[in-house]
Amino acid sequence: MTLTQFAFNNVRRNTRVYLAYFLSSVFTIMVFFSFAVNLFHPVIASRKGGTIEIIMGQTEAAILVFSFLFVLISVNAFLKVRSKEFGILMLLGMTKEQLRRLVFLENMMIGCLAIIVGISLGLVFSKLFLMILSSILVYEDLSFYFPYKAILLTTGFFILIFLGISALTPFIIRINSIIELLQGSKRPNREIEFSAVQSIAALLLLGAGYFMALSFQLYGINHFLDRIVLLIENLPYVEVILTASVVIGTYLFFTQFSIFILHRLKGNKSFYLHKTNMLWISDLIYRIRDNARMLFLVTILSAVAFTAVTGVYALSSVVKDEALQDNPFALTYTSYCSNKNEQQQVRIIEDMLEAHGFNYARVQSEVIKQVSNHRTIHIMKLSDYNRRVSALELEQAVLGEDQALLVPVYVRFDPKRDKTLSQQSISLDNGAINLEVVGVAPKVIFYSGLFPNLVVVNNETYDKITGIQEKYHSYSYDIPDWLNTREVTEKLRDQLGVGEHGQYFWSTRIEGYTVENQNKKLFLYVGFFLGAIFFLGAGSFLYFRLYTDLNQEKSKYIGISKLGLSFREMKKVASMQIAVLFFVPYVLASIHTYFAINVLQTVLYSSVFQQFLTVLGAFLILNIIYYLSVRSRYINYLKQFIVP
Amino acid sequence: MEILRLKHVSKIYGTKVQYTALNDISLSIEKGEFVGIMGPSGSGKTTLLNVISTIDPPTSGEVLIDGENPYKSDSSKLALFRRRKLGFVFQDFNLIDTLTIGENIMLPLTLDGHKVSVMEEKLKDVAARLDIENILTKRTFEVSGGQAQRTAIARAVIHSPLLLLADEPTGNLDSKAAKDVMELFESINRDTGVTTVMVTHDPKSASYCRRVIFIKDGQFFNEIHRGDSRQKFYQQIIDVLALLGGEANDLDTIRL
Repeated sequence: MTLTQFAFNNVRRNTRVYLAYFLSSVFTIMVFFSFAVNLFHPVIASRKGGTIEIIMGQTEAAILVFSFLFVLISVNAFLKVRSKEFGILMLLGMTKEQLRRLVFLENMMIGCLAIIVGISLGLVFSKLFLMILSSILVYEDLSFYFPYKAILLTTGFFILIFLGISALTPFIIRINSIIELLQGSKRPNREIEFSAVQSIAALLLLGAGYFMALSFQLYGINHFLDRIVLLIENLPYVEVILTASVVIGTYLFFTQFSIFILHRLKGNKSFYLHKTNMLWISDLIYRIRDNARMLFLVTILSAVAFTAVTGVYALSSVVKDEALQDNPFALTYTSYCSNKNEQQQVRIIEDMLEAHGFNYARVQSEVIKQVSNHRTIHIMKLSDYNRRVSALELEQAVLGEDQALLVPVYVRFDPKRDKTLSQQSISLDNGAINLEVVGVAPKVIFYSGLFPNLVVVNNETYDKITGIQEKYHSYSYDIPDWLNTREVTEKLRDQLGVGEHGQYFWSTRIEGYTVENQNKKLFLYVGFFLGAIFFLGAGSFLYFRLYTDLNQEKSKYIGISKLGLSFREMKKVASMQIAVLFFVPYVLASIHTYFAINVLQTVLYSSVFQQFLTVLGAFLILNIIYYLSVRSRYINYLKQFIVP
Repeated sequence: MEILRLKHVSKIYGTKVQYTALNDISLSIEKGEFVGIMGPSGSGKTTLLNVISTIDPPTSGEVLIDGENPYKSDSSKLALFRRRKLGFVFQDFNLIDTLTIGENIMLPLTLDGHKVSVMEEKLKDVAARLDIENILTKRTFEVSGGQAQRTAIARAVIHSPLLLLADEPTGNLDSKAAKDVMELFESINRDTGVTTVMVTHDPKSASYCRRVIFIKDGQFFNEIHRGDSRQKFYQQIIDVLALLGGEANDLDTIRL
């Protein structure tokens, strides 16, 4: 018998222990491969350098990092179970080198098999993923192809991962202490220690992180709070501090606070000594201590998954709404006054719209650009403004000779803190004209980004202005049937191009909408992809641990059942423990997500709370299914050993 | 010839709360001896055996096996040392579940890279001696406790070690199996001359030894030699145990 045969015999004969590790490797490889098939599809690959390529490439990188972590954690759990075996081998005189080689050989055998099986399964599913992708990108059908590049990439990466893992194993199994290895999974039954200070720190850190996430919304409630909010906002790397505080808080939550709570429960005698409570609480303390790091990772992974999915879901469902707000008019053409072809180009646009049978309403405005006191200001007159707002069904404005109205240039404006919009007075012509600001327009009236620092003034005041840097004529078209203007826009682009500097430029709602729609749907696709595998991965970690602990549990339950624990009671004890392991991370991750969404909210136009609830609901159902199937497998296994 | 020598060996565990498991123990074991180590629970028997086993370095003092101090070697030399010069038998057998009985026995030779023909030859010899030839292809969970312990003994002696170390080898066996195992130890010691050191709390098992060393609270307490009669030796052991303060029939198997 050589070492290779020994390794082979181990893998062949100890399937129960190796199977979980093998299956999770297969799953990871399958996900990675399926995505690589999308990435390397000839049609996708031909669009080099676009957003699509960036999104897909980054997703693949994220999957790769996750794969590495996932395989590392799987192998960790798998090697821990076998520590006693390694102890015996070392005692019998196996050198570290030989042990490393043994683990390496085993790993490579499992790894190679997992790569073959994972890629084969991936090939089966890849057509499905391609179909979904082609419907999202509104491309011609993405046909099936033989993905040799994806196969090479997957094989290469995973061989590297398995090699890397093999190199890390000496750190995983504490190879230096044979005595510790021999004790193996028999854990010393010393009292578990926890620190009250660190337990409180867990809550404080979580609280601080949550507060920072909310701080943007707390502005303006009272003066003292405002100062704190501004202080937080001016912190360098505020996102990093926020994330770190929540991550560390979560870690302490599981390593310290959870044990602290269980200790308090233990202290409550009437609860603790009631029926089976004593069993599951005392057991859970050890279980959480042993699994704290994993529960922490599961929580963080779940929070990332929930946030990613909610984010992309919210983004994709508000695309149309955002397009409407970004472009209040379906088409806006703006010409410099010096442009000789202005009338001709307007004609082209209108003829084209008429030729395709579109109804439209035109609004025309004149805007002056002026540099006054080294600041660029755009100015329009009240009558032009009122014509625009009436087309947009907004309230008309009335301005006196010394009064001015400010117009936001972006949809997401905050009059309280936006310096441009919070000015009290405006001076034009280097101080020759001084105006008092009487208000801010409720909306963007051209399109997002056009004419920053826009001021509306009374017609008489407008006529007095002398400093004119530039003058524009802007024609905006309201087209009720704008969703069908894609073809017209393409034809117009053929004739007019994107515009000419110093001459004219134009923008349409449909183009922004189409690009955003495609990107966001793609985001949704990869978001769900990532979310699903992160979440499934997180669940698998839990299942893995339960699975590897089964042997120890078995002897415990046999013992208690002999003392007279009924099957129902045993089921209750086991269910309680599994439920805590499955749902505490879920609840904590949901809370994290709620606050993360609040940060996200600040860059979105509309509320995403409903999407948040939908996503959480969907994951809750997944989690319950996961929990029920794990529990039933677990209990069925224990059932065999229970004394009837 | 002296095979094993302990010079003023002490072992202290813990950093904040210190616990002295062994306190200045010195002893010497000659080639071919069959020595038992006894003492009440928590007296340091197992720690002493671990220190001799080269897996638990002493806090102070020196361990010499065949004239050399194994703790001075680096870890891979130490592994080679254990592989070639030591044999181990445990209370809970410690067989590898994924291997067959025969493969388990051959393991020390496999690790050392012996020729297959040599390994099979030795396996045949040792299996015949221990009467386990007919279970060589079975797996560990298919054999009885007595058979498992005989497998473990076969694995411990197949490479003709210098020193055979046994930790409560009869602790998990019924009295018939325990008797068989002890007779095996005795006959292997007599026929091959392998120096054997065994930790036990069972006076009956200890009575197979030629010499029994008693320790208490990590310190040397007493030693007695066996004369011609095993029965008489057994009685002497019981007497010393009574003197030690532990009950004569100490049923406690919890060890530290």
